[in-house]
Amino acid sequence: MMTLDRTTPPQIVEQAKFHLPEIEEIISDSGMKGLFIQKTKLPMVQFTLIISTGCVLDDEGKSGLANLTAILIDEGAGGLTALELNNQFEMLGSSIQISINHEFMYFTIVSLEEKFSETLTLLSKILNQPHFEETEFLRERSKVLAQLLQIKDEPDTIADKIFEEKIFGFENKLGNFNLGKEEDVQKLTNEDVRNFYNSQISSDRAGFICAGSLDPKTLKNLVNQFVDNFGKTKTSETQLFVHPNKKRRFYFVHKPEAQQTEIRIGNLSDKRSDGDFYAKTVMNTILGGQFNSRINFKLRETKGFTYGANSLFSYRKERGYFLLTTSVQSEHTIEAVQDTFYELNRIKESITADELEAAKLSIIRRFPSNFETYYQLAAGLNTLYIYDLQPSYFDEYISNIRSVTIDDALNAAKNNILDDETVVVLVGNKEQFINQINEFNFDEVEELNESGNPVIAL
Amino acid sequence: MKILSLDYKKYSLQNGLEVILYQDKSLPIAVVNLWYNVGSSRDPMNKTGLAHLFEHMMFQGSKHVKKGEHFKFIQDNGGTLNASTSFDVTNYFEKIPSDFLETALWLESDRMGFFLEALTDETLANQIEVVKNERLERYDNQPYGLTWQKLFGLLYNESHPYHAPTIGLMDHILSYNQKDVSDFCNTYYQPRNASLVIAGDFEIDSAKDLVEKYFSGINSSAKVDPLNVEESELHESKSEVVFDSVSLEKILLVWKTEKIFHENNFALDILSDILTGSKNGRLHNILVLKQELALQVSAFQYSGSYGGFFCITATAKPGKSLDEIKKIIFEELTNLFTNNITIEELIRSKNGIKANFIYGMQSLDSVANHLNHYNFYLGEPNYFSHELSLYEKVERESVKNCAKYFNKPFIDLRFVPKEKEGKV
Repeated sequence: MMTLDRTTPPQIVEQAKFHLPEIEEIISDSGMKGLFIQKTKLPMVQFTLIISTGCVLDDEGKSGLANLTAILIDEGAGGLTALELNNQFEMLGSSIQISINHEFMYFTIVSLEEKFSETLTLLSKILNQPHFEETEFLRERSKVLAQLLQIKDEPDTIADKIFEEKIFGFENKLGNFNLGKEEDVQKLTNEDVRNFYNSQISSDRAGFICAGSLDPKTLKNLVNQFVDNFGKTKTSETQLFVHPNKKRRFYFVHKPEAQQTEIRIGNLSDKRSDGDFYAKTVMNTILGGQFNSRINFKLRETKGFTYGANSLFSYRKERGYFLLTTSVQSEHTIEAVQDTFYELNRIKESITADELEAAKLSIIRRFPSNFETYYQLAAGLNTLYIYDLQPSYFDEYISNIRSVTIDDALNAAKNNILDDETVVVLVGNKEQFINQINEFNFDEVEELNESGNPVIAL
Repeated sequence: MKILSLDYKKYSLQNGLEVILYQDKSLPIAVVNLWYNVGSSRDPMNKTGLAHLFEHMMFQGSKHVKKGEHFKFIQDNGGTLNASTSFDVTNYFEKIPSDFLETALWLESDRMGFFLEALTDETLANQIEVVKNERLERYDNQPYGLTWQKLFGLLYNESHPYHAPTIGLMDHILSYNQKDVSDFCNTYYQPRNASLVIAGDFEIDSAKDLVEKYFSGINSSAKVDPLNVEESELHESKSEVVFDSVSLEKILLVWKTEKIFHENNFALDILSDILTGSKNGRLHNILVLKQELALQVSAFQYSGSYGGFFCITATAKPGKSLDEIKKIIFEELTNLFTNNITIEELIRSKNGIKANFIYGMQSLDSVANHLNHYNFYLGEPNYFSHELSLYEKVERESVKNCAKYFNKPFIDLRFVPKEKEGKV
């Protein structure tokens, strides 16, 4: 049994070879830009129409409007009731998902190739002839209000929401919460929804991405036939700028019965297209991007404080942020925050050559598996589309990662993990941490309620 | 359907390890998917959660792989990995660049054959803390987090293997010792109690050689016999109200049904789809759209080796009554079983199921896991087409015949804001 030498891991003898799928750019008759990858493995199509609109375009006092419009746009269209429309999608075995984030609205279709044309006729009705009936509006608004009530019970959602609000600032809509504020949603009207649709939903601010078994010519014809030229307006997009808040800020929500504390630590950062994207990606892989990264290994595998911890860079069009997320047993809250700060500083001072190589190899060798499913292909195209990256982005990705040096990674940490702008949000039992908060020298300390509104100033 | 019929090789090593090889060279990646025939159904009664804790321990190192290295080897080479524990099984899976297949097999075989040599009090204490935090994060500190623990407690008696939640009870989690872990390992973590799927870009002969090289030298011990479970019916309906940190009230109505792959399960799945699978789902239509009593409603059928159940769950909108929601659910079930479903409902549901079978073949992990799933429960890995045909054979009458499950005692489990305690 023991004749096999197991003491040394096998050597990789041959490097796996990977060929990138070809990306085609398709321009519709009206000038709408699309990106397409043909993949014939299965007879299916993953298609997403992307419109540059989102909750950053909710007017003051009308937060939640973009979200409610996205919910209502397929609640009856083109002479079909919501149920009839849904029934037609289902009879085709197709699905449609309409979602919204801060800057984009997505209409995502998954369909068998043979049903794709019929599925697009339904999408066309939704885009061009939504009914926006009052009954549907009242029902869906009341559901959103119920959801807003429900999330007050979810410590992780509360922490995420407050972090984004504080990072981007109240005066800036990049911190808007999709669902909106309760007091605003209550006042929204069906007329608001119609106005939002009329002013925001049009093909002149839309594009599409698609991965599927059909050929590009067919796709272009179908897009021209069913999806091109919708909406009325030629509105310009609003550019949003965020001014960094140069203060160390600490916010907490007291949940007396909580057995864990939700922790968010981070700061405002640059947009994706800024120069050090690759260095940040490598640095974050070492810091907190995967299981054996420094922070998770310390908080979980060494100390057992948490089920998991991870860090990331999130990007909007104009700004992004750095964020560390974890949830720890209440009595270890302070030590977990101390450990996190320790690691956030250490990554600016020391990265070993082994760590750098391991992180780069990890990213480079995972690259082919990002092109497996139709969903993944579409997600890759979405990245190109929303950040306006060149089609050569994927061709150059590996060499860009490979060229990151230790100094690049250290500088990425120094320039993007900003101690003097750090925002900390804790949601948990304050008795477990409030008396020790002074040691972190915050410029501002504020207790908030579950909605993110101030309770008392300390 | 051709794309649902996979060409695979299945064989066993002399030590009893089942091996299933499925070649797909469309990308230079491979998946290793290893199922052990042990889940929380094998937890000792006073040590619930042990199977799940053991899953965590399998990442803590083995004789030739130090703590942390399992993750490091895989992730540093661009792989992704994880594991999961259910009532019936524990599975471990890696998706890796295909040139890394040998290393993945070296890692999996080392922890299959040489786990105990690396077990220490320190690694065990660490993972007890991690699992404790997993339980806090996902169960105790989440609204409605105790749903499954409460449900299984009501649905199955104490001697039934599905009585306790897979994560385990907190006082049990804190009580595990080295002997618990090593006894568990010696009984269940052996080649004859496992099946290994390798899927993706590799050559069949060389994969066979690698499996032989790394796994054939691991000895099997005593055979693990199936549990002898007398699945009893619920003799009377049971109800419980849980006062929780929630704002919206929630109800679960649950009936016992059948074990996995029972012939009626396909009709039960279609029933769940017709009730709540979409906006057109009957209960969604009535409760969410027309009467606006519920924020959401869902229904599903779950089955394992030792039992199954059908669950309908609804979250009430603020101020709406769970009693009213329950009444409507029963009225609609009666209506459905009296007048039967429509042909259109049946076709709609089948179309969705067929499309989802095709969509499900996109990912190699999912295909590999299904091969193991079918092999584990049916002894035949390539069951995709056959399973789809079983759905296609469901007729209106077979859905109507499911009425027999709903005329029996059931569970009524509710979550209510803790402020209402003493007032309900």
